[in-house]
Amino acid sequence: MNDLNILVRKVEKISSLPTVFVKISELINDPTSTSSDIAHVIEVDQALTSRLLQLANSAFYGMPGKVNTISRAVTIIGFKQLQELVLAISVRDQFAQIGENSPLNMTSFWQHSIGCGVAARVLATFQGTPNPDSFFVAGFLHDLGRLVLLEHYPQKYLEVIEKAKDTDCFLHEVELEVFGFTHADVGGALIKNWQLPDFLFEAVNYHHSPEVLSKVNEYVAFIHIANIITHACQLGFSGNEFVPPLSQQIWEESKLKVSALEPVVNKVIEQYSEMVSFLVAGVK
Amino acid sequence: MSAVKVSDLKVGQELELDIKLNSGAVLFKAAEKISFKHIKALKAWGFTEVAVVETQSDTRVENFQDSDLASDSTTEHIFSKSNHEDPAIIELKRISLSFRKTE
Ligand SMILES: [Fe+2]
Ligand SMILES: [Fe+2]
Repeated sequence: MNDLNILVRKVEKISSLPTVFVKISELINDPTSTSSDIAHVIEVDQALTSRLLQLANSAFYGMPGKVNTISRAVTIIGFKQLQELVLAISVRDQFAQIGENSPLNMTSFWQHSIGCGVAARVLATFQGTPNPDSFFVAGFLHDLGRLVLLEHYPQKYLEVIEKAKDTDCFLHEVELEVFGFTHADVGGALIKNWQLPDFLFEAVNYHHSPEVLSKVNEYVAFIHIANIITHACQLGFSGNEFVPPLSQQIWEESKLKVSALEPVVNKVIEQYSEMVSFLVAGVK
Repeated sequence: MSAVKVSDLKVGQELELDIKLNSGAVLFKAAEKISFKHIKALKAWGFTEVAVVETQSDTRVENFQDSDLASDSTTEHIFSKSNHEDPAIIELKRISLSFRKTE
Protein backbone atom coordinates (compact mmCIF):
# COMPACT_ATOMS: atom_id res chain seq x y z
CA MET A 1 0.00 0.00 0.00
CA ASN A 2 1.43 3.38 -0.91
CA ASP A 3 1.74 6.39 1.40
CA LEU A 4 -1.36 8.02 0.00
CA ASN A 5 -3.56 5.03 0.80
CA ILE A 6 -2.06 4.65 4.24
CA LEU A 7 -2.82 8.29 4.95
CA VAL A 8 -6.38 7.99 3.71
CA ARG A 9 -6.99 4.86 5.78
CA LYS A 10 -5.78 6.72 8.85
CA VAL A 11 -8.04 9.63 8.11
CA GLU A 12 -10.96 7.38 7.43
CA LYS A 13 -10.74 6.09 10.97
CA ILE A 14 -11.12 9.52 12.49
CA SER A 15 -13.55 10.86 9.95
CA SER A 16 -15.73 8.21 8.49
CA LEU A 17 -18.58 9.54 6.46
CA PRO A 18 -21.15 11.10 8.81
CA THR A 19 -23.91 8.68 9.80
CA VAL A 20 -26.66 11.17 9.07
CA PHE A 21 -25.43 11.38 5.49
CA VAL A 22 -25.27 7.59 5.17
CA LYS A 23 -28.80 7.21 6.57
CA ILE A 24 -30.21 9.88 4.30
CA SER A 25 -28.55 8.31 1.29
CA GLU A 26 -30.13 4.95 2.14
CA LEU A 27 -33.55 6.56 2.44
CA ILE A 28 -33.16 8.47 -0.81
CA ASN A 29 -32.23 5.30 -2.63
CA ASP A 30 -35.25 3.54 -1.21
CA PRO A 31 -38.21 4.30 -3.50
CA THR A 32 -40.72 3.73 -0.71
CA SER A 33 -39.37 6.44 1.59
CA THR A 34 -41.13 9.78 1.89
CA SER A 35 -39.91 13.29 2.63
CA SER A 36 -41.12 12.96 6.19
CA ASP A 37 -38.98 9.81 6.68
CA ILE A 38 -35.99 11.88 5.62
CA ALA A 39 -37.10 14.78 7.78
CA HIS A 40 -37.17 12.51 10.84
CA VAL A 41 -33.54 11.55 10.33
CA ILE A 42 -32.45 15.16 9.88
CA GLU A 43 -34.45 16.51 12.79
CA VAL A 44 -32.41 14.42 15.22
CA ASP A 45 -29.49 16.68 14.37
CA GLN A 46 -30.29 20.16 15.68
CA ALA A 47 -27.44 21.98 13.98
CA LEU A 48 -28.14 20.34 10.65
CA THR A 49 -31.84 21.14 10.95
CA SER A 50 -31.29 24.82 11.54
CA ARG A 51 -28.74 25.08 8.73
CA LEU A 52 -31.03 23.41 6.24
CA LEU A 53 -33.91 25.66 7.25
CA GLN A 54 -31.70 28.71 6.78
CA LEU A 55 -30.72 27.41 3.39
CA ALA A 56 -34.27 26.74 2.30
CA ASN A 57 -35.09 30.32 3.30
CA SER A 58 -32.08 31.78 1.53
CA ALA A 59 -32.12 34.05 -1.48
CA PHE A 60 -30.72 31.21 -3.57
CA TYR A 61 -33.94 29.22 -3.37
CA GLY A 62 -35.95 32.43 -3.35
CA MET A 63 -39.07 30.84 -1.88
CA PRO A 64 -41.98 33.11 -1.10
CA GLY A 65 -43.01 32.79 2.54
CA LYS A 66 -41.12 31.18 5.36
CA VAL A 67 -40.05 27.54 5.30
CA ASN A 68 -40.51 26.32 8.86
CA THR A 69 -40.29 22.57 8.64
CA ILE A 70 -37.70 20.17 7.37
CA SER A 71 -40.15 18.13 5.34
CA ARG A 72 -41.14 21.30 3.50
CA ALA A 73 -37.45 22.15 3.05
CA VAL A 74 -36.93 18.66 1.60
CA THR A 75 -39.70 19.29 -0.90
CA ILE A 76 -38.22 22.64 -1.91
CA ILE A 77 -34.60 21.61 -2.14
CA GLY A 78 -35.28 18.20 -3.63
CA PHE A 79 -34.11 14.76 -2.47
CA LYS A 80 -30.89 14.56 -4.38
CA GLN A 81 -29.82 18.12 -3.75
CA LEU A 82 -30.63 17.70 -0.11
CA GLN A 83 -28.42 14.66 0.09
CA GLU A 84 -25.55 16.65 -1.38
CA LEU A 85 -26.05 19.64 0.86
CA VAL A 86 -26.15 17.38 3.89
CA LEU A 87 -22.84 16.00 2.68
CA ALA A 88 -21.31 19.49 2.52
CA ILE A 89 -22.67 20.46 5.93
CA SER A 90 -21.66 17.25 7.62
CA VAL A 91 -18.17 17.15 6.11
CA ARG A 92 -17.74 20.71 7.26
CA ASP A 93 -18.88 19.77 10.79
CA GLN A 94 -16.79 16.62 10.80
CA PHE A 95 -13.66 18.55 9.93
CA ALA A 96 -14.46 21.56 12.12
CA GLN A 97 -12.27 20.28 14.93
CA ILE A 98 -9.40 19.65 12.57
CA GLY A 99 -6.78 22.22 12.00
CA GLU A 100 -5.96 23.33 15.52
CA ASN A 101 -2.30 22.82 14.73
CA SER A 102 -2.71 24.01 11.21
CA PRO A 103 -0.39 26.71 9.93
CA LEU A 104 -3.32 27.93 7.81
CA ASN A 105 -6.26 29.95 9.05
CA MET A 106 -9.21 27.56 8.99
CA THR A 107 -11.88 30.21 8.54
CA SER A 108 -10.09 31.40 5.41
CA PHE A 109 -9.76 27.83 4.22
CA TRP A 110 -13.52 27.25 4.49
CA GLN A 111 -14.21 30.58 2.85
CA HIS A 112 -12.09 29.50 -0.10
CA SER A 113 -14.00 26.20 -0.26
CA ILE A 114 -17.34 28.00 -0.18
CA GLY A 115 -16.17 30.52 -2.77
CA CYS A 116 -15.25 27.71 -5.13
CA GLY A 117 -18.52 25.88 -4.45
CA VAL A 118 -20.60 28.99 -5.06
CA ALA A 119 -18.63 29.86 -8.21
CA ALA A 120 -19.11 26.32 -9.55
CA ARG A 121 -22.82 26.47 -8.83
CA VAL A 122 -23.14 29.86 -10.54
CA LEU A 123 -21.20 28.63 -13.59
CA ALA A 124 -23.46 25.59 -13.85
CA THR A 125 -26.58 27.72 -13.51
CA PHE A 126 -25.25 30.17 -16.05
CA GLN A 127 -24.62 27.42 -18.58
CA GLY A 128 -27.98 25.82 -17.90
CA THR A 129 -26.45 22.62 -16.51
CA PRO A 130 -28.88 20.51 -14.47
CA ASN A 131 -28.47 20.07 -10.74
CA PRO A 132 -26.32 23.11 -9.87
CA ASP A 133 -26.22 22.18 -6.17
CA SER A 134 -24.04 19.18 -6.86
CA PHE A 135 -21.53 21.60 -8.39
CA PHE A 136 -21.56 23.48 -5.12
CA VAL A 137 -20.65 20.31 -3.24
CA ALA A 138 -17.87 19.39 -5.68
CA GLY A 139 -16.39 22.88 -5.42
CA PHE A 140 -16.79 22.91 -1.67
CA LEU A 141 -14.82 19.67 -1.34
CA HIS A 142 -12.12 20.44 -3.92
CA ASP A 143 -9.31 21.26 -1.46
CA LEU A 144 -10.40 18.92 1.34
CA GLY A 145 -7.20 16.92 0.85
CA ARG A 146 -5.19 19.91 1.99
CA LEU A 147 -7.00 19.80 5.32
CA VAL A 148 -5.96 16.19 5.72
CA LEU A 149 -2.33 17.05 4.98
CA LEU A 150 -2.43 20.01 7.36
CA GLU A 151 -3.86 17.86 10.10
CA HIS A 152 -1.47 14.97 9.68
CA TYR A 153 1.71 16.79 8.84
CA PRO A 154 1.40 20.27 10.37
CA GLN A 155 5.16 20.70 10.66
CA LYS A 156 5.99 19.30 7.27
CA TYR A 157 3.22 21.35 5.73
CA LEU A 158 4.60 24.53 7.20
CA GLU A 159 7.79 23.71 5.32
CA VAL A 160 5.74 23.20 2.17
CA ILE A 161 4.20 26.66 2.59
CA GLU A 162 7.56 28.25 3.24
CA LYS A 163 9.22 26.49 0.36
CA ALA A 164 6.41 27.54 -1.98
CA LYS A 165 6.91 31.13 -0.85
CA ASP A 166 10.69 31.04 -1.24
CA THR A 167 10.61 29.45 -4.65
CA ASP A 168 7.49 31.23 -5.97
CA CYS A 169 5.87 27.86 -6.65
CA PHE A 170 2.33 26.65 -6.27
CA LEU A 171 1.60 24.67 -3.12
CA HIS A 172 0.55 21.60 -5.09
CA GLU A 173 3.90 21.56 -6.89
CA VAL A 174 5.78 21.57 -3.59
CA GLU A 175 3.36 19.01 -2.10
CA LEU A 176 4.21 16.64 -4.90
CA GLU A 177 7.89 17.14 -4.24
CA VAL A 178 7.65 16.71 -0.47
CA PHE A 179 4.93 14.05 -0.10
CA GLY A 180 4.94 12.40 -3.50
CA PHE A 181 1.27 13.33 -4.00
CA THR A 182 -0.85 16.49 -3.89
CA HIS A 183 -3.86 17.61 -1.88
CA ALA A 184 -5.94 16.84 -4.98
CA ASP A 185 -4.79 13.19 -4.83
CA VAL A 186 -5.58 13.01 -1.12
CA GLY A 187 -9.04 14.52 -1.60
CA GLY A 188 -9.74 12.16 -4.48
CA ALA A 189 -8.61 9.13 -2.48
CA LEU A 190 -10.78 10.16 0.45
CA ILE A 191 -13.85 10.54 -1.77
CA LYS A 192 -13.19 7.13 -3.34
CA ASN A 193 -12.85 5.62 0.09
CA TRP A 194 -16.16 7.13 1.12
CA GLN A 195 -17.68 5.61 -2.02
CA LEU A 196 -19.07 8.95 -3.11
CA PRO A 197 -20.10 9.37 -6.74
CA ASP A 198 -17.48 9.45 -9.49
CA PHE A 199 -18.25 13.00 -10.54
CA LEU A 200 -17.05 14.19 -7.12
CA PHE A 201 -13.92 12.10 -7.37
CA GLU A 202 -13.02 13.44 -10.79
CA ALA A 203 -13.77 17.06 -9.97
CA VAL A 204 -11.64 16.96 -6.83
CA ASN A 205 -8.86 14.72 -8.04
CA TYR A 206 -8.19 16.63 -11.25
CA HIS A 207 -8.89 20.24 -10.31
CA HIS A 208 -5.25 21.17 -10.91
CA SER A 209 -4.66 18.78 -13.80
CA PRO A 210 -7.87 18.48 -15.79
CA GLU A 211 -6.00 17.96 -19.07
CA VAL A 212 -4.86 14.48 -18.05
CA LEU A 213 -8.42 13.25 -18.50
CA SER A 214 -9.28 12.11 -21.99
CA LYS A 215 -12.89 13.10 -21.49
CA VAL A 216 -13.74 16.11 -19.38
CA ASN A 217 -17.23 16.56 -17.94
CA GLU A 218 -18.80 19.79 -16.69
CA TYR A 219 -17.86 19.05 -13.11
CA VAL A 220 -14.16 18.86 -13.83
CA ALA A 221 -14.31 21.93 -16.07
CA PHE A 222 -16.38 24.14 -13.79
CA ILE A 223 -14.51 23.24 -10.59
CA HIS A 224 -11.20 24.02 -12.34
CA ILE A 225 -12.53 27.42 -13.47
CA ALA A 226 -14.37 28.12 -10.20
CA ASN A 227 -11.14 27.65 -8.26
CA ILE A 228 -9.46 30.24 -10.49
CA ILE A 229 -12.34 32.69 -10.04
CA THR A 230 -12.14 32.18 -6.26
CA HIS A 231 -8.44 32.99 -6.31
CA ALA A 232 -8.92 35.97 -8.61
CA CYS A 233 -11.54 37.44 -6.27
CA GLN A 234 -9.51 36.46 -3.20
CA LEU A 235 -12.45 34.82 -1.51
CA GLY A 236 -10.88 33.19 1.53
CA PHE A 237 -7.39 31.77 1.35
CA SER A 238 -6.25 28.20 0.80
CA GLY A 239 -2.53 28.74 1.18
CA ASN A 240 -1.77 29.69 -2.41
CA GLU A 241 -1.10 33.31 -3.15
CA PHE A 242 -1.22 32.94 -6.89
CA VAL A 243 -4.13 32.42 -9.21
CA PRO A 244 -3.58 28.90 -10.60
CA PRO A 245 -3.13 28.58 -14.37
CA LEU A 246 -6.29 28.38 -16.42
CA SER A 247 -6.27 25.41 -18.77
CA GLN A 248 -6.94 26.69 -22.26
CA GLN A 249 -8.41 23.37 -23.27
CA ILE A 250 -10.82 23.35 -20.35
CA TRP A 251 -11.88 26.92 -20.96
CA GLU A 252 -12.75 26.07 -24.54
CA GLU A 253 -14.61 22.93 -23.55
CA SER A 254 -16.60 24.81 -20.93
CA LYS A 255 -18.12 26.90 -23.73
CA LEU A 256 -18.04 29.89 -21.43
CA LYS A 257 -17.72 33.32 -22.96
CA VAL A 258 -15.31 35.89 -21.61
CA SER A 259 -18.22 38.31 -21.39
CA ALA A 260 -19.96 35.92 -18.98
CA LEU A 261 -17.26 36.33 -16.34
CA GLU A 262 -18.45 39.63 -14.95
CA PRO A 263 -22.10 38.60 -14.46
CA VAL A 264 -20.87 35.27 -13.05
CA VAL A 265 -18.61 37.00 -10.53
CA ASN A 266 -21.39 39.41 -9.54
CA LYS A 267 -23.67 36.47 -8.79
CA VAL A 268 -20.90 34.74 -6.88
CA ILE A 269 -20.39 37.79 -4.68
CA GLU A 270 -24.12 37.99 -4.10
CA GLN A 271 -24.36 34.39 -2.89
CA TYR A 272 -20.99 34.02 -1.20
CA SER A 273 -21.56 35.80 2.09
CA GLU A 274 -24.84 34.01 2.65
CA MET A 275 -23.20 30.61 2.18
CA VAL A 276 -20.33 31.69 4.44
CA SER A 277 -22.75 32.51 7.20
CA PHE A 278 -24.35 29.06 6.88
CA LEU A 279 -21.21 27.05 6.76
CA VAL A 280 -18.46 28.98 8.51
CA ALA A 281 -20.29 30.19 11.60
CA GLY A 282 -18.84 28.39 14.57
CA VAL A 283 -15.48 27.54 13.00
CA LYS A 284 -12.65 28.27 15.34
CA MET B 1 -12.69 54.62 17.09
CA SER B 2 -15.66 52.32 17.20
CA ALA B 3 -16.29 48.87 15.82
CA VAL B 4 -19.38 48.85 13.68
CA LYS B 5 -21.19 45.85 12.30
CA VAL B 6 -20.92 45.76 8.53
CA SER B 7 -24.70 45.50 8.37
CA ASP B 8 -24.94 48.80 10.30
CA LEU B 9 -22.40 50.75 8.22
CA LYS B 10 -23.56 54.02 6.74
CA VAL B 11 -22.44 55.48 3.45
CA GLY B 12 -20.00 58.32 4.13
CA GLN B 13 -18.51 56.90 7.34
CA GLU B 14 -14.73 56.82 7.39
CA LEU B 15 -12.57 53.74 7.87
CA GLU B 16 -10.26 53.98 10.87
CA LEU B 17 -7.91 51.16 9.87
CA ASP B 18 -6.83 49.40 6.73
CA ILE B 19 -9.07 46.48 5.82
CA LYS B 20 -6.83 43.54 5.05
CA LEU B 21 -7.62 40.22 3.44
CA ASN B 22 -6.25 37.04 4.94
CA SER B 23 -3.54 37.01 2.33
CA GLY B 24 -2.35 40.36 3.70
CA ALA B 25 -3.54 42.32 0.69
CA VAL B 26 -5.20 45.64 1.50
CA LEU B 27 -8.84 45.65 0.43
CA PHE B 28 -9.56 49.21 1.59
CA LYS B 29 -7.30 51.77 3.14
CA ALA B 30 -7.84 53.65 6.38
CA ALA B 31 -9.60 56.99 5.86
CA GLU B 32 -11.58 55.77 2.88
CA LYS B 33 -15.20 56.85 2.92
CA ILE B 34 -17.71 54.06 2.96
CA SER B 35 -19.76 53.77 -0.19
CA PHE B 36 -22.38 51.21 -1.11
CA LYS B 37 -19.67 49.32 -2.97
CA HIS B 38 -17.54 49.09 0.19
CA ILE B 39 -20.42 47.57 2.12
CA LYS B 40 -21.09 45.06 -0.62
CA ALA B 41 -17.44 44.06 -0.84
CA LEU B 42 -17.01 43.81 2.95
CA LYS B 43 -20.00 41.48 3.13
CA ALA B 44 -18.72 39.48 0.21
CA TRP B 45 -15.38 38.94 1.88
CA GLY B 46 -17.07 37.81 5.04
CA PHE B 47 -16.15 40.78 7.26
CA THR B 48 -18.63 41.20 10.09
CA GLU B 49 -17.24 44.28 11.85
CA VAL B 50 -14.98 47.14 10.87
CA ALA B 51 -13.44 50.06 12.72
CA VAL B 52 -14.76 53.46 11.70
CA VAL B 53 -13.84 56.96 12.81
CA GLU B 54 -16.15 58.10 15.58
CA THR B 55 -17.44 61.47 14.54
CA GLN B 56 -20.64 63.02 13.34
CA SER B 57 -18.39 64.39 10.63
CA ASP B 58 -18.57 67.31 8.32
CA THR B 59 -18.13 65.11 5.26
CA ARG B 60 -14.82 66.30 3.89
CA VAL B 61 -14.66 64.63 0.53
CA GLU B 62 -11.06 65.72 -0.02
CA ASN B 63 -10.03 63.08 2.48
CA PHE B 64 -11.04 60.42 0.04
CA GLN B 65 -8.10 58.25 -0.96
CA ASP B 66 -7.76 56.25 -4.08
CA SER B 67 -6.68 52.71 -3.36
CA ASP B 68 -6.02 51.83 -6.98
CA LEU B 69 -2.27 52.03 -6.60
CA ALA B 70 -2.05 49.46 -3.82
CA SER B 71 -4.57 47.17 -5.45
CA ASP B 72 -2.82 47.27 -8.75
CA SER B 73 0.29 45.69 -7.30
CA THR B 74 -1.83 43.10 -5.48
CA THR B 75 -3.57 42.14 -8.70
CA GLU B 76 -0.28 41.94 -10.58
CA HIS B 77 1.14 39.77 -7.81
CA ILE B 78 -1.66 37.24 -7.59
CA PHE B 79 -1.85 36.96 -11.39
CA SER B 80 1.91 36.77 -11.82
CA LYS B 81 1.78 33.10 -12.79
CA SER B 82 -1.12 33.42 -15.21
CA ASN B 83 -1.07 33.70 -18.98
CA HIS B 84 -1.41 37.43 -19.56
CA GLU B 85 -2.44 36.98 -23.15
CA ASP B 86 -5.42 34.80 -22.35
CA PRO B 87 -8.58 36.92 -22.81
CA ALA B 88 -10.31 35.15 -19.88
CA ILE B 89 -7.38 36.03 -17.61
CA ILE B 90 -7.33 39.64 -18.83
CA GLU B 91 -11.02 39.88 -17.98
CA LEU B 92 -10.57 38.23 -14.57
CA LYS B 93 -7.76 40.66 -13.78
CA ARG B 94 -9.98 43.56 -14.69
CA ILE B 95 -12.78 42.20 -12.50
CA SER B 96 -10.37 41.48 -9.64
CA LEU B 97 -9.10 45.05 -9.82
CA SER B 98 -12.52 46.59 -10.03
CA PHE B 99 -13.35 45.00 -6.67
CA ARG B 100 -10.73 47.04 -4.97
CA LYS B 101 -11.66 50.26 -6.68
CA THR B 102 -13.90 52.47 -4.63
CA GLU B 103 -16.06 54.11 -7.23
FE1 LIG C 1 -6.40 22.97 -4.96
FE1 LIG D 1 -8.50 25.73 -4.27
